[in-house]
Amino acid sequence: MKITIDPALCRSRARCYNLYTDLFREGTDGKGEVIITEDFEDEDLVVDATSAANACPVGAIILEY
Amino acid sequence: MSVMTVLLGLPLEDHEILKHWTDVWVLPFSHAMTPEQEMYVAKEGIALQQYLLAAMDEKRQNPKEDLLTLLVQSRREDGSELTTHEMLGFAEQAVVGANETTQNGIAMAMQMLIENPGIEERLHDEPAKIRTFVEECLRLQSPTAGMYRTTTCDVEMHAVTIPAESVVHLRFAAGNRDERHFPEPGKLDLDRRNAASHLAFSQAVHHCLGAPLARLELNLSFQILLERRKNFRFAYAEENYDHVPGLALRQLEYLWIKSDPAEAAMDTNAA
Ligand code: HEM
Repeated sequence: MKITIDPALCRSRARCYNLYTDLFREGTDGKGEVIITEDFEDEDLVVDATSAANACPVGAIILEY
Repeated sequence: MSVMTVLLGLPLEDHEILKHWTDVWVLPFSHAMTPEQEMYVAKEGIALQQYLLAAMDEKRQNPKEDLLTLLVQSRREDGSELTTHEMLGFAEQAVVGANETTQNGIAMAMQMLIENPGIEERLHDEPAKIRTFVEECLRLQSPTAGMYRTTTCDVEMHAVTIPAESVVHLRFAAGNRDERHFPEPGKLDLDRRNAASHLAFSQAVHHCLGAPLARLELNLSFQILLERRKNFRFAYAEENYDHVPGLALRQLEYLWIKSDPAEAAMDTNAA
């Protein structure tokens, strides 16, 4: 799985980096920033990434797999 | 409904009466009411409130790990308790919000699966696309098609001034077909990158509290349905579905479908 945050969509609602600290951190202007930018397969991380994308109120987290 | 019943910490056997109460609760959203029907809706609404109040009392006596316990124990930042009215509002919203919308979301996504050729095959081949499929169905069908707000100040939009204190209808379903944000808006596109950035769960402070749960329920439903069944199609030559008339909610009255067992599912049955 690969995670990206679309900076044009992100509205700094902070859910991703408050809830899923293994995958996201706070970037400039409070926007979300992906920590693991390369592909990964770890199942726990896939679950967290999916939950984060489901929780993002503006749909800015894009998952590819 | 059963999912929400369990999460709230209510007895699972109550899910049918809860389903009944929430079905009645949303009737005024779509139907013009006679005074008798209004009385009926009000009485059933009070019965739901009394049920929830009793359940919240029970959680105060016997705290458990569930949402109602969290609700009765929650405190504001200054340490004060929520009022009964506020707690009841939350509990009611959770019960009602979880029912019709999710159920209709699943049904209308099934309708889209059948009406858009090639989608089912692609989802069988690429189950990872179920996510985008779900978001596209939420966008195109918008189970909560619109909600009301009252303006607190004059608002200017597209050269029109809406005066303060006006009741406006926010049309999520219309925004979801804005071609400036979603090119070819009417198309169910499994490769749309910004598919999840729709308004089906509203925006800002009232953004749907249950959105992550609704997404999980929709995704799991289609993962399981597509694992077990294939060749989803309408059951009859025509009149396979109809909508409940209404402005705020988009609901299916009925949906008649057929499908066949998927081979993989037959293998597991045999094993
Ligand atoms: C596909 C399913 C769902 C859809 C389309 C949906 C849609 C919406 C929309 C559009 C709103 C905002 C209303 C407004 O702007 O005035 C909302 C609010 C809400 N929803 Fe949902 N919802 C769904 C599922 C759920 C579920 C499963 C729950 C329960 C866990 C839930 C609980 C709530 C609550 C509590 C609110 C009120 C939030 C607030 O006003 O602060 N919803 N929902």
